[in-house]
Amino acid sequence: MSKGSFGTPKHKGGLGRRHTSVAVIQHNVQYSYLRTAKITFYVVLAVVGLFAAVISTYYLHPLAAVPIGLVAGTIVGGLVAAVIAIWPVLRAIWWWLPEITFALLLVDGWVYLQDWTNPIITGVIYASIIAACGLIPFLRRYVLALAWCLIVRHRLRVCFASFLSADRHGHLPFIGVAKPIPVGERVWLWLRPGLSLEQLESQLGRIAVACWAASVTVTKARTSNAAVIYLDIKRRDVLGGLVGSPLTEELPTDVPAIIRPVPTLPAQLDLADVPDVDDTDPTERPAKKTGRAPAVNGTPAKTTPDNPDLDWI
Amino acid sequence: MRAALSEPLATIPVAPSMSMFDPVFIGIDEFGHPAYLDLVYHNLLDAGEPGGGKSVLIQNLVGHAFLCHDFTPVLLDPKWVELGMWMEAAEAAGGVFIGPDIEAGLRVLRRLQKVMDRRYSWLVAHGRRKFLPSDLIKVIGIFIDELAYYTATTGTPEQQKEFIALVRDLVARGRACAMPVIAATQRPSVDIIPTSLRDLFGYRAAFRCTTPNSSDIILGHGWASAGFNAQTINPTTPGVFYLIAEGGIPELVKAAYLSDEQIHQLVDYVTWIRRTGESHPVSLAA
Ligand SMILES: Nc1ncnc2c1ncn2[C@@H]1O[C@H](COP(=O)(O)OP(=O)(O)O)[C@@H](O)[C@H]1O
Ligand SMILES: [Mg+2]
Repeated sequence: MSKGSFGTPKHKGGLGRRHTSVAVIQHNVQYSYLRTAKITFYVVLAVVGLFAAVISTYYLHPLAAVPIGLVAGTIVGGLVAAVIAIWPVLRAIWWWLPEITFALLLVDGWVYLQDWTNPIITGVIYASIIAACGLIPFLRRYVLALAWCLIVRHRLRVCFASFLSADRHGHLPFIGVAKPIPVGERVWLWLRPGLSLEQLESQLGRIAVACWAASVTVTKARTSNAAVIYLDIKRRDVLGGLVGSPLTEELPTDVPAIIRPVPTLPAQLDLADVPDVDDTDPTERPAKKTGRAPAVNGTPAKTTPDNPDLDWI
Repeated sequence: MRAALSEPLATIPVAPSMSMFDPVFIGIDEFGHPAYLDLVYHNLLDAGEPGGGKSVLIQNLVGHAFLCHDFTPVLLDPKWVELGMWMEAAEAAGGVFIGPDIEAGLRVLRRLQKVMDRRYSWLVAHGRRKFLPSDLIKVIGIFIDELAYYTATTGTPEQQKEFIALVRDLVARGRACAMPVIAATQRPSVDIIPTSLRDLFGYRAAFRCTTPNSSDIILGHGWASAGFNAQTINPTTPGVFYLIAEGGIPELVKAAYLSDEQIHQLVDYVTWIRRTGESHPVSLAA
């Protein structure tokens, strides 16, 4: 089910939706978080308030315990409810956390250096750091790989928002950390209830396109928890080079060559050299078969049924 | 053939130092890490398009095996050009090479079946379940290139059936008694290799395929849709394959490459040491 279908009349009644405008998803998500926050507030208030009141009766007069329980419950419940209510904001901060941290570091560094030296030296330091990242190949590769990690997290978010069918609250996979791997990036995801690995599997082609990658694979990260998965986003072909074999490295070089039996070399190697007679000479059979084998092997493959199940059973 | 070595040699041949129980280096994976196979306790099926690099992978394994002191080769290659290179070495090591001759193939497989029965009797007598390196047992490696030639192309249907049955028996029971089967074929669909045989291989290597379905036939159902699709392997990079080990996740591996010269060098060396070196009669541990 695509996200766009939330507002359709078909689902309207069943899911208790109030509006049918285009922005119904956003509204619905917001509504759901607020409602959850409210319920959580009352539950936490009750539980924490009760505990605080009971504990404080050991030290205070029972009458004084009631306001203390109320205050403690309100504070804790309020905090928890606030986190839930502003979760969409926190999530957005989490999405941009690396960028925010980086920007803060840049600005802080500048301010800090301003206090110690003059702006020209600060500028020179910044310029040399940037030049080093751009000119030293090792650093450049590392910086680029990190930059791709940042880009990919945002691309994935866009992907999920645009074509991953979410649950009825619009929950999307939680995008965890990304790290560079030789072929591209590996991104950990936490699947929310209502999502499954298979849903991502069916969208791998689109994810690859959105991430400007060659291909994407999805794998369970833990055997004990189906919600934790990782995507390998592959954009570099690292297996193009020749891999040498170490087997001959340590061999002595003065080994006498073995005498290979010299077979009588056949001279007639063209089709015309083999007359069209039904010869069943057993000595010739293997040679003929040898030449034909690949073609014969190939033929049955084409005639196999297209149905994958037929092939399997 | 001993006449070839008439003049005395200056150096004393050293015995092959590796063991079949050692991990076999086959290439590097996508992370640049070396990839290894544990050959003794696993059978390997490698499959994919012609020209994908199946025979090169097998050459790596054969090369490693011949450098092991505890290896007895059984090589079957209807095309001669790949495993045929090792014919002399196989003879010198007390093994056999079989060309495109299904009857000879059947004979050697029947012999292997008897060996297997005896090895199991030995295990039963010792109250054990599998051979260990400490048993100093010879590992009989059965390498079959172009398996389809014997199972679907040549011979009578009865011969093909018997061939399949014998290979299936070796694949099913050979693991514990140190007789691994390594087979290569192009497309392991039912008409070429029965599913009952294909599914017994612990290691599968999927070289480039023409369809996602072919890839799934090799690796197992569903991997292509998770992105592990041998069809996506770049045709300009032969030797790249998805390797799946029992119950694991497929890994993309690039096989190491052995050139003809390197193989000849290896063949010369292993034949030489086996013909001239002390042949240590390896006895089973008591
Ligand atoms: N690991 C590899 N590295 C480099 N080139 C390879 C590799 N494997 C195969 N090739 C190239 O591909 C060609 C075909 O390989 P081959 O093993 O004969 O294919 P197959 O047996 O699958 O038909 C080889 O001759 C070689 O040039
Ligand atoms: Mg081949």
